[in-house]
Amino acid sequence: MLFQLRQRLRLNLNNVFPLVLFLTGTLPAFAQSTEDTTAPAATTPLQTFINQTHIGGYGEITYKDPNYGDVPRLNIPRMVTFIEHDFSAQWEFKSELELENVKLERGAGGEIEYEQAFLDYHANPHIGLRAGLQLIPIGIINQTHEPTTYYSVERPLFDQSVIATEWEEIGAQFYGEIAQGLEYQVMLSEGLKGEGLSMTTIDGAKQSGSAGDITSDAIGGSDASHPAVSGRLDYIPVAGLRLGASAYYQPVAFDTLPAGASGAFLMAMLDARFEHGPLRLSGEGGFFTVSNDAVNYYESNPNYQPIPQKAVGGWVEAAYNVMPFFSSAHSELLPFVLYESFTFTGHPAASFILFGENSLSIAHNSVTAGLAFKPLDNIIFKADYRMTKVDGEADYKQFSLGGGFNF
Amino acid sequence: MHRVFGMNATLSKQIITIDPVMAARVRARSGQPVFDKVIVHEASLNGKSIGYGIVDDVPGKAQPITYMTLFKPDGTIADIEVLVYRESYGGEIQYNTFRHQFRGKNASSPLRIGNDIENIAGATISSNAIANGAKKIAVLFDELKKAGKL
Repeated sequence: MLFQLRQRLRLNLNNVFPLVLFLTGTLPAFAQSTEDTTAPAATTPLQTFINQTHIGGYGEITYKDPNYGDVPRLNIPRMVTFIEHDFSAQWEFKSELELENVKLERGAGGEIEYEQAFLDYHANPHIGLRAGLQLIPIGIINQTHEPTTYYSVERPLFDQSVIATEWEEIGAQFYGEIAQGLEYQVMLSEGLKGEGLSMTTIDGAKQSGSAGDITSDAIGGSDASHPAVSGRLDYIPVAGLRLGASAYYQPVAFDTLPAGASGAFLMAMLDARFEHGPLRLSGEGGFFTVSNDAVNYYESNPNYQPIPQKAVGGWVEAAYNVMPFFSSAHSELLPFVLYESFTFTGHPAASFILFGENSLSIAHNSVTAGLAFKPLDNIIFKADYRMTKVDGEADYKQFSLGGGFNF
Repeated sequence: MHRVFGMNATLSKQIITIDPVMAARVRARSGQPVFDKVIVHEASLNGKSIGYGIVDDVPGKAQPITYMTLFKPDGTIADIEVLVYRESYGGEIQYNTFRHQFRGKNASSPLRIGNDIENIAGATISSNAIANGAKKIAVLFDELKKAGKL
């Protein structure tokens, strides 16, 4: 079914778009302007709108069979629709609307949210400005999260906990190219609500454009009183290699702190992606840390859950396209191994009850081995087996199947 | 065109109709459909043809990428030029390290990511789009030449 869908879309994209250009007579006009790269001029408002508006999307379906209590589950974790519109060569609007977990009924079940919605002013290759709801420019998966871009059925655990992807906030971002192969992103945004940090994830601290859950109020909008700055540098020395360094800093990440106490939150990540022929290597790692003042305060105050003092770790993944051994078809078959290790550490005096034992820190070590098949560039089928040890003791195993697409 | 073929080159262009037979052949050889018309830019020097450029659109992540494939008269790719890139991410396909990989390739080259073309890591969709597009246009150029239309 996905294949047929893709075929239909391919027909649409490859045939309808040029057809529209020809019917409207804009392709010859376009041709005349190829030396100056200006967009084609259309002749009627409707034609202009069609030429300037684009839809796309991605989605995934999963089957997960864990050995730790839950029943096997089939799910459509995400269906996302893009709508984009070019107002001019410089101005555009982009949005991604996401429905998580199939449906939302009477407030229960999944979640519907704008994952991204921003205006983009692309002044020139060296500077552009995006304003609106957008992804924090940190790590690999947060900004490149379409299911066809990674091989495991689930995103790495690291990217579900230390960086809880997708992590988007409302803000403004400058981006561009410093020199060929060196790119920057600098963003000022609303910040985390540190009270929502837990010993397993930062997910509860994200505002994602709306503080509703955290503040329990009926007022729309996020809390902009504690802004954060984040940024990323990408270095692409050769076509197959990309190195990234990114960071997020929030001077005050908590609403409630004793007078004079520091409430800073800092996250920093390094990542690398390397592709050469059939070989694909990637990795991401780093840490976040919370000021000791805040950790001490939240540890000693019984009204709040304890918060982590830091989390450190990362993952590496190796995949190899073996399809050329079997066939010359334009498809890929990739056995892969993903290794992850990360640790959340709490207050020295804390006693987190973990599997019946007191624990200062919670360490995750996980190996995922599997197979990904990409019949087309934008369609993927996946199967993997993940073994996770938590604190070297509890043993979690999960077999998963998945399918995904983007267009 | 001037950047690749020199400032002294004289530029002209023609619109060539692609008949259904040729369109089917290009589709069979490249796996991709083509338009029924194509605009071919020609660079000449002292009345002698020194190169060609064909403009095309390929689908990117959500928006089409407009690019030109430049050929030497023998059908060898001289360069790829991205004319209009509309996406926020993946613009790295405009980098020399990516584009220069296409030089010297022709219709019989695989022009495939992970084969004779290295991906831009982190810009897979755009890289694939340009590689697929270049394959299609190289095959089209070859067919046009065989048919005596160039």
